[in-house]
Amino acid sequence: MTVGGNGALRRRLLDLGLTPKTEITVIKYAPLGDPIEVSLRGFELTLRKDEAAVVDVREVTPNKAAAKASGNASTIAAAKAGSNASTIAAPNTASNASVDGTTTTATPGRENNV
Amino acid sequence: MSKIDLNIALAGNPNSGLTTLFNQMTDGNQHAGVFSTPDNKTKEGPVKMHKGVSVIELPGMYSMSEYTVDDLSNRRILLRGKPDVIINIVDATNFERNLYLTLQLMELGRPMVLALNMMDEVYSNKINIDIQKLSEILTIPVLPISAAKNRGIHDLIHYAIEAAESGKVPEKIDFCKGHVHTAIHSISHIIEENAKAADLPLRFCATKIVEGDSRVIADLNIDDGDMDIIHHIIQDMEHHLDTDSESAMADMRYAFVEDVCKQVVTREVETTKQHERSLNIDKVLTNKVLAIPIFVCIMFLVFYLTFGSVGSWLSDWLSMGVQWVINQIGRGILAAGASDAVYSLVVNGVCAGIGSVISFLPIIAVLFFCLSILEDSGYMPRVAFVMDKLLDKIGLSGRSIVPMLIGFGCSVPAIMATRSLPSKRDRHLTITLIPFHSCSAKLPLYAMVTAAFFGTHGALVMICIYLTGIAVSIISALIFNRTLFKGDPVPFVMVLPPYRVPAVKSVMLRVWENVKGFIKKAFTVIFVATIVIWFLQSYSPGLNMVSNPEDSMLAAIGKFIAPIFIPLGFGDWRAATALITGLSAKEAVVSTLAVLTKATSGLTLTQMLMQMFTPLSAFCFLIFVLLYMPCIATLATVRREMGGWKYAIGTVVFQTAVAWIVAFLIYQIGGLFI
Repeated sequence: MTVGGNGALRRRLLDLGLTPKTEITVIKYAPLGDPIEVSLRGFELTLRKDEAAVVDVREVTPNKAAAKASGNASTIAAAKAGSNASTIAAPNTASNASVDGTTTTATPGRENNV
Repeated sequence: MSKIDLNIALAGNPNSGLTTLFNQMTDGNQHAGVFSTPDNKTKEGPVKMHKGVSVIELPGMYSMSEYTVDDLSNRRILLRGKPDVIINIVDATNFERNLYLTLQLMELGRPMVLALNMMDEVYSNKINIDIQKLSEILTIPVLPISAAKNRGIHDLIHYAIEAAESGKVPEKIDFCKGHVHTAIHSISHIIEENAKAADLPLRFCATKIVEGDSRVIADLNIDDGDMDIIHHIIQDMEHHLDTDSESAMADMRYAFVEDVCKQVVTREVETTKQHERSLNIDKVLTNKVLAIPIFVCIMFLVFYLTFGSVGSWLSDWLSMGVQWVINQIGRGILAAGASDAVYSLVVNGVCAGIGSVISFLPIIAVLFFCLSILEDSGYMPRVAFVMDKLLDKIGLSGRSIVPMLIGFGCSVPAIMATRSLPSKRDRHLTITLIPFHSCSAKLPLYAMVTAAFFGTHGALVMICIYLTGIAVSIISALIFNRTLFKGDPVPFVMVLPPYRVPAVKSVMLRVWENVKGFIKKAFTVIFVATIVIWFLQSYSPGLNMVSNPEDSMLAAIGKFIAPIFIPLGFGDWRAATALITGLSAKEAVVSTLAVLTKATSGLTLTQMLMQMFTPLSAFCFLIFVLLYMPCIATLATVRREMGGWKYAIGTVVFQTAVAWIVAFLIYQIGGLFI
């Protein structure tokens, strides 16, 4: 692994509790398509899609009703993060289904700063 | 001011009830303190019923990392100011994220008390928190309070003072296990002397070094040999944990917090009623379809209340009162047999100056009343969420939208409202753009000129003017992004707090603070400027009082600078003079034009305008008025909020230059077609 790129963003995400294996749920997109609203550790957080892209997520409980909307979100996040050579979060056993979206585990990934 | 023997620092997450607690502790009283600077939002006040005890409210923060301007100043105050005791306010309904900060505050080696806020919500949701146990784990006193309901505040203050007097610091600050623990310990040994020399808490330094905090590393002055060893220790730790040190630290803290939660919190329900309610409100307010229409309606209502009904009604009422007082004073002066010069100075200079300051007050009061409600209820962050995409394009975030819209009413409160922005860069950029948004004081001039020249097309011309302002603002933003305000914008990432009913006390205090702040800081500047303009208007270059305004110094200056405007199509000295008086207030442009017209010709203002302008040059004149230097009240506010005259002067030069260039282009290019 390489040393992290975007320091401030990463620091902030970590400070707000997006530590490895934390469950996050995508709740909604803003009316104009960006940013997104997610829920973690019992509170709601909003962040832009490109900021969410540094978070490496792994779906744990897809919900059929919301699969379309939130499935998208995790794809976006995972696709970008994938190119960043960050770790994939370990499987989470205590998965917690949400009515609104997909619950995922997260690892704030690092943007390569080559 | 009585002597301060004991300083309490109030720290906690944003929206954990900091301001509410501060207001309960002080009854909203503030005093100038050691820690407040124009740049930070720190508030200091005397603790009621405890003489010599002062409390400092630090703006909300999530960690001891330097992320926003506030974080920076908070850290400086906590480390360098060495408060006698820290009260860490914790939102008990959001335990994990709040305790994360607690762990970091405990590393500072100051006496500390934990105030567990929102306990009323906790009880009503049948959540049980074992306060005794929490206190044992953290080795600091834990007090359950409800800041909004004023419960437990008395005990809290009592315990805080006791902790400060005993000087008892948190005993257990070592929350980590395994490799992180080893690394922090080894580093602590190496930097012990350096930390002592730099007068910084050792444990704080050690964890910050693991996190790679460059400022702490620089402050400690570690020699190269030691630095090598430290790097080696960190690499070793990263290797063992298969993650980087920053993430390892955060993970370790959160792991500890999660463990604490398991031990002390028992709950029957997954989410609280209040949280559930927030999610339901959000289903409407940030709804994909409804969000923007609702935002537009709310802004419309705010404008209507401020500039349309209550605000303008209060403003009219006040100016009537002021006029009456001025008349009484004038009569008194004349009765006392004073000369014309004295009468004019008092009535047209001094009183007019005070009057123009007063005329802003109702607008500021009503506007901040509305904004405080939007802010305290939790709607503001939602606005940022909804509108962010638009502002992202010009290098700002959704948080700038409200101040920018207020700019269409009045630049002064708009610039004051930028205080809610988290980064200095965003704030300065927003302040720079706001004056391009046509304020309501320019409307009378637009109305008069468009009526004279454009008749039925008046509305269209008005729209063009507003759009030009917005276009110039966008273009300036794009240019500034690449030049003056370069650098990474602060990430948008933002917590959406639960909706709460705003506390009347907080809202009223905020209104009062803003009104008072405006009077205190802007009064002198506006007052002096008004008197200077009066002096220039009333005296000839030979320092004799003039009866004909054409002979005044101001007219002389107008005549002198008039040629500058020939390429823009309006070289008339009366236009130039009117533009100068616009410095005191934009409404003055119309009144000066009227006065000069009356004095220099027998024509009505409309006839006079027809002589002075062609339709094209009239339009250019309006564009110039739209964009050129803002009024003195705005400049005083820019100076206050950005922290220096150089910004205010920069604004004058920049805006006037932009105005000249845009008007020039329109006149010259327009001339080719007409």
